[in-house]
Amino acid sequence: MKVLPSSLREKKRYLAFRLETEGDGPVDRKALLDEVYHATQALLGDAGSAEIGYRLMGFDGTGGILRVGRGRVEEARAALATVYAIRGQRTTIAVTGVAGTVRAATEKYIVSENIPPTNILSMQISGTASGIAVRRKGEEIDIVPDDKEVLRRGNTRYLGLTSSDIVTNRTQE
Amino acid sequence: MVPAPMKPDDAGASYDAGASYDAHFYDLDTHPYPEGSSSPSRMLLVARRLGYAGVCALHHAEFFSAARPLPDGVLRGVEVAAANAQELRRGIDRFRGRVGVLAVHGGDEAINRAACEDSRVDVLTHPHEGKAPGINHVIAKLAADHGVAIEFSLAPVVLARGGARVRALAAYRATFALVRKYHAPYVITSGAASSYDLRDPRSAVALCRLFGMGERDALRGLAQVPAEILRRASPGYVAEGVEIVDNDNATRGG
Repeated sequence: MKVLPSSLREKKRYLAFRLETEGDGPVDRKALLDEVYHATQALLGDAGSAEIGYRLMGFDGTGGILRVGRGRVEEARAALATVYAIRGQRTTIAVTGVAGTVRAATEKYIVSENIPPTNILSMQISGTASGIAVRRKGEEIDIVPDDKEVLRRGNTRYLGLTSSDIVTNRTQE
Repeated sequence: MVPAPMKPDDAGASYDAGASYDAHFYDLDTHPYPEGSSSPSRMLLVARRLGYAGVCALHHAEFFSAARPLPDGVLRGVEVAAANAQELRRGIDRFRGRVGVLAVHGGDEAINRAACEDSRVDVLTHPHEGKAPGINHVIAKLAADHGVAIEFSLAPVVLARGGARVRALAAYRATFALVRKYHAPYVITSGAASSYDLRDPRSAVALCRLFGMGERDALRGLAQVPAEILRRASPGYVAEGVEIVDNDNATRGG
């Protein structure tokens, strides 16, 4: 079939996004799409999903570019905001910017900081809360707290701290 | 001459040109550690990354401690829960002098009403949580008269699915219509129990559109009304229009 001339194609917008996840390692492309479709389906139904017309243009496990129909950006934002977990791991999709071309979205809104989280193996910490530190990413430190009730109330796998919350055992002495 | 590069047009047809995202956004309802599973500083770190100027640690009374230090940018707040109006007044007496933001745990219609009759209350949280919508024309007018902000928490919209979310959106729609009619103040919050529950201001606006709140109205609930509550919490504030601007000679401006 002949390709539609560009003037007759529907206008698109490209959302640059970044994932914030509690899971280990990069997020699977299929898992992300399943969750996005599922959340959109639940919020806007089949007709709404079809109008948005998602297409994942690029994705590296932590962020990427999602194509949506022009004039559907707000619906897409709302639907993406209702994603709260991917494959059972708490994850949020933060839209960092919207552009009219893939190139503009990439150049303006994809920040390649990509500090990979370091796994700290069972280091006892105290300070704001006490527990076992499991990983660190920049200033952010995730711990398994002694008090497991906070995880139930917060509905997360770890207790999230920052470096300012921590008093290491060595400095305490 | 090189012609100036053409700017791409707005990402959506429905943007309001007068709305500004440069304002100072505050999320007045978060429940950090020890109530939820992000420390106050982690909650603040993520909120700032999303575009907020600060958050309020709005603990329920059993998790509240006036002695616990909070980082700059995290306001101290309390969410008073009570079984009846008398108990509520006692709770407000107990906490008003110790917090920047005093909220009432809403839901019960008698509590909603009692909260909106008391000018010392800053925010009435999730008023719809009972079976009834929670806010009627009488309560909306009281809220407007006493400057009590009605909360629209995004938590049920983000986290619930199916019937529970439908009921929340329907209640928000009805409540917002009354709030707008009587010019009652309102705030938009995340109700976050961890940093993964926070949503950036643009997402919050997109979610508010789902229950009939426009962009400008949503930004008001994210920035202007919280700013007003913060101003009341600042040390020099005396009463509406009366503020100590210079502590040395106690000059009062108005």
